[in-house]
Amino acid sequence: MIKKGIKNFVIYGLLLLLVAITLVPFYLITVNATHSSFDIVTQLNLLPGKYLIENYRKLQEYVNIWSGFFNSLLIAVVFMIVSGYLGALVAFGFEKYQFKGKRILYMIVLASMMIPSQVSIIGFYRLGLKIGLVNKLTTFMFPFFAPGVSSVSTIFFLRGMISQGISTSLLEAARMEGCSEFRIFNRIVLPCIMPGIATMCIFNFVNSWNNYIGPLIMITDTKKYTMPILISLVKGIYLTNYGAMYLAVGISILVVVIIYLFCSKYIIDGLTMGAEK
Amino acid sequence: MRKKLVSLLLTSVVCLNVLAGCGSKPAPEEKKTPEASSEIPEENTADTQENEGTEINTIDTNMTAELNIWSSGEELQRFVEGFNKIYPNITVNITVIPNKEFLSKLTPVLSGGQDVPDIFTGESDYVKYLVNAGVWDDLTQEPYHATEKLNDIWDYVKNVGTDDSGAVRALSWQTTPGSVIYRRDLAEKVLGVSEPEEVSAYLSDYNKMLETAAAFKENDITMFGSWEDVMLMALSDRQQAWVVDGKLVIDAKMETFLDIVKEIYEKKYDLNVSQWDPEWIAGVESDNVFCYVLPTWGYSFMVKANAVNTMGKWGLCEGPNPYINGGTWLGIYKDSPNKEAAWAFMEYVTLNSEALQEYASIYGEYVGCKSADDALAQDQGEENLAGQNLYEFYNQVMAKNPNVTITEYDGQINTAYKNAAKAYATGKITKEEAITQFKEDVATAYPDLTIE
Repeated sequence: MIKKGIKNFVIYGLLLLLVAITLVPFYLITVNATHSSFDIVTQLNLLPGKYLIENYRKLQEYVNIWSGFFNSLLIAVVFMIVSGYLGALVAFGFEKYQFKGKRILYMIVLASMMIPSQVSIIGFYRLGLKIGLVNKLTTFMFPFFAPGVSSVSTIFFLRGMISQGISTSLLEAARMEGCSEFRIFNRIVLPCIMPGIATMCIFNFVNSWNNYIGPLIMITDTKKYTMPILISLVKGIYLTNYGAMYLAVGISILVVVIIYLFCSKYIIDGLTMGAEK
Repeated sequence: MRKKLVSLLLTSVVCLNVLAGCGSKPAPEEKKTPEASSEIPEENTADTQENEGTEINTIDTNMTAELNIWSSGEELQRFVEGFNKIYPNITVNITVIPNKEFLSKLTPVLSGGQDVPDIFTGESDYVKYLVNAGVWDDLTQEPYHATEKLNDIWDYVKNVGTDDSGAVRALSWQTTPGSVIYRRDLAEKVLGVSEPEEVSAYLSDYNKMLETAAAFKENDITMFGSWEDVMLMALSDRQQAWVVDGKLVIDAKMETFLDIVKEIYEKKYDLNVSQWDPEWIAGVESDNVFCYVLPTWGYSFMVKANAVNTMGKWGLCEGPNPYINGGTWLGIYKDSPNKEAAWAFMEYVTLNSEALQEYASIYGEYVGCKSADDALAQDQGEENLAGQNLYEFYNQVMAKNPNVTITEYDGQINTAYKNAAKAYATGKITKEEAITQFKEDVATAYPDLTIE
């Protein structure tokens, strides 16, 4: 009994330590956002200060952080939905249909995973330019959710899920009943792999939220700037104003924290699905 | 049949993405032909043409245009209000782009040739590259004819903006001569003197400067913020630029400077941090950093911006050699459809003495226009400098014609030099190894340069 107590004590101790390590950066960002730059550079701040409003005022003076916030949110939400739905559609096609060139196409999809986005960004910009999508008010989001049409990691992950979780006989049964192929996907496949889609959606959301170089190259209108660019601007403008920088970073991670808080259930479900077989 | 249709749809979706990836094939660089500027679309110049005045001097202030400007800093925005008082119908849209990514954003736009801003800036690290690339218009030609007006500009501004063929392509609202920004009270305590000329005597050459540093060390005061500051000054001490005729040149002064860095490191004459590190900034408010060796921007952005308790305790004096470092230039895109309006703005920002005086009196920046600086030198001095007039001081530095050795390779070469110097100072490698490492780094960054 005592032995078990010690064991638990050690385990919980270690876990608590891990929790503390994970939380420290978040805590420091929050606390530093309420201090003046000078305090931040000269001392370690553990308790909240009084400079929050001052920092916010300085931040708002040059960049409109909330417009960046909503631009980012808009892009990320659309990207998340598009990549989730179409990713599942493509994965379903690759897994359950036989057609010529399937293997080669799948290889190409996987290979495209190895090209870093920084390499293709200039080509992507030129493509957008040619078809007239760069810097247009109505379509300014297009360049950001277009890659979501086939987000490779989503396809790869969901293909595995479909192959494990959905038997071909299920699809055949549906076909016998006269269900169309598209309806099969929407009504039968999609609900079955929902946890997986949710997981990938969350990852895609965070990726899009943190995307810096893409919007930077594609957007030239300050009003359409996204969060990461604005944060970088705060750095550039103030050079030494760490208080405003911490506040901007704090605002930007807020969304990601909320997403993880409410969706961590789906992430864990999605990742461990099929593990118990 | 249906099954096939669905699979076709799915694969085509995938192919779309793959094709988008294929688009990244590097397109042939746009030819930098000089005649490109002669084929500008003329439609926007229509309203200025009506009074037949092709001379830009007789330009009418009612012209209507929308200017797009990309800037790496927010300074240009400060001119817009005054500019619009003269030209109420020109809309100025300024997009601020983080300096670090400025070139990576500009390059695809320039090579695409669409949506290029009418005016864009260039920082000293890469301004020479843009000047020599010929993406900016020659301001001495049609329709600008700026040659005469350029006499009121400091040579540094003009020379950096001039390309190898002598065409003036970029100008600036600022000039950035350097100084040693020192603490008067600490000078009084250790050296017994506090006035700029007297303190300068203790810094008349690099050896003497290090002796002075030793004296401060005895009093537990660190001489410099960072040795990287001192490097800004040392760069103007050499006679030759990093690159001469496509060949890397290591001036003897830069080899000697390696030893100076080592001495500063070993004897702890600096805070052992890099520029813009929090400790470096915090040094402004502490009582154990004697000086920062920084140009005008270092004074206004760093020292003055952070001095609260040390307000009024600072002074500007000269170090071993006069120097000049940094700055932001701006130029007009060669194919801009709004050249008249763009020039009106650029003239206002860089050549209008009254506008620059007003700007300087608000923001305390040393400007590129001689007559404006002369006028400002007559005013009373600054509170933070205990009454010293910074315009008067910088005018003296400019009168000494500091060596200008700026090249289009400077950004990366300076970084390589700093890395090598650091490795040598901390004792990781010998001096010979440091120089070899420096050469290798430069060769990697610029394979086209001849390196011996």
